[in-house]
Amino acid sequence: MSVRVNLLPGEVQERGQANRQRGIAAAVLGLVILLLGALTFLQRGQINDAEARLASAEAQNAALQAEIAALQPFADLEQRAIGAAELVELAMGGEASFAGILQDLSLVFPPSAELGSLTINIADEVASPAPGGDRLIVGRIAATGRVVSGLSPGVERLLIDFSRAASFDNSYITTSSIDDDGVATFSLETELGPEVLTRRYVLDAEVSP
Amino acid sequence: MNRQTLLLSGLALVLVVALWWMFLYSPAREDLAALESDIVAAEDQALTLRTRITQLEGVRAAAPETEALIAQLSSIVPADPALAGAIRQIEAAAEDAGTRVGSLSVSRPAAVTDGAALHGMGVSMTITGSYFQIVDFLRRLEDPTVTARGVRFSTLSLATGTYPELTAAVTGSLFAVLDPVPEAGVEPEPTTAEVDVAGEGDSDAEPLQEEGGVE
Repeated sequence: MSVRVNLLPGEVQERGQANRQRGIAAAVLGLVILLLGALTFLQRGQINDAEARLASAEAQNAALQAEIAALQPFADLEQRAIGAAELVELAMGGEASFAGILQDLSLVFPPSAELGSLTINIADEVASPAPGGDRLIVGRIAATGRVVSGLSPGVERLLIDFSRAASFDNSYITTSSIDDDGVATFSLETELGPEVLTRRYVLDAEVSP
Repeated sequence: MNRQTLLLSGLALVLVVALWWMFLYSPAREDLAALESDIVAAEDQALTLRTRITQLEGVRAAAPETEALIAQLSSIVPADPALAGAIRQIEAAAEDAGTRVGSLSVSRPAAVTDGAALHGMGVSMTITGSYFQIVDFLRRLEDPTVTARGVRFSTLSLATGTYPELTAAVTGSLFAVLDPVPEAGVEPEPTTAEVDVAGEGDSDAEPLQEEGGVE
């Protein structure tokens, strides 16, 4: 059995321990600095990569811009077409088909009636719906004429037939009288709905007329 | 002594990390975020540019049709009053429909809205024919594939004549794109140019008389 005896003085032992501790602290600090340096290096790499990607994207955009510049005459052509279509819409957008109105009228006008006079008016501005109604009024028809079969069924039939036309609305007989032969003379007014508008020049419907 | 060394070491470590964070990591992280944001913006812009190129290539492919459309639209609303052409087209529609144009009046151009290039010219005419001949005449004027010049009708009055003939008085507007007239206080000229159409539907023999002149 052997016995180990430390013959160094206690101060030397303490100094050695302190030196070891300082060495450990310095090593830890150095390790941390190294770690931070590595993180900084990685981050710098990410920044370089991002800068390269941005430069690539900007170069690509510059090429695309050049391509668009080469196509500029067609952009101008497109603008001319849009400008012309907008002008035509402004001028003709509210066009109503008078031929269509007269065609509708011929379809619903009863054979027992005769037209004396007819006036069609299309408003410049579309009127709001009448109170209680939801239809826009774009114009009016005023007509006078005669019906051979008196007030009923003659004038009655006229009103019923007028209600069959989709573009005619709120038809009213404003005056009527019957002569000795049973022939009724009438004045009629009817409103024209938005169906009479052609909309062929309206841009959101179709650019091409 | 041991504790003091440990404390100082810890403080030094914290100080180093804090300085690194403040002066290296954090600014670089902001730079990176800004770069990523710029990349996203550039990619978005590239997408927009590609879409625009696709659109313009479509316009290029359809250029002949677009030119034709512009020509057609320019016929509907021409760049000058083009009254002679309008009269010819109205007369042709009347002749083809078998009606007669009794009178035709066209007012001088007036801006649709103040200072606008779009000008309207009031047109009024009387037509004689049967009911369906008048319907056909109106259809021919309304249909842009038959009559190039756009006419927007606003009123029509029908009166009976010798059976089966009716007389229709029609008013409407022709349009043209003209330079806006900025001058104010200039003496206005007569606003109506009346054209008497003789020959009653015969386009070969009508002497056209214009009063007041039309630009």
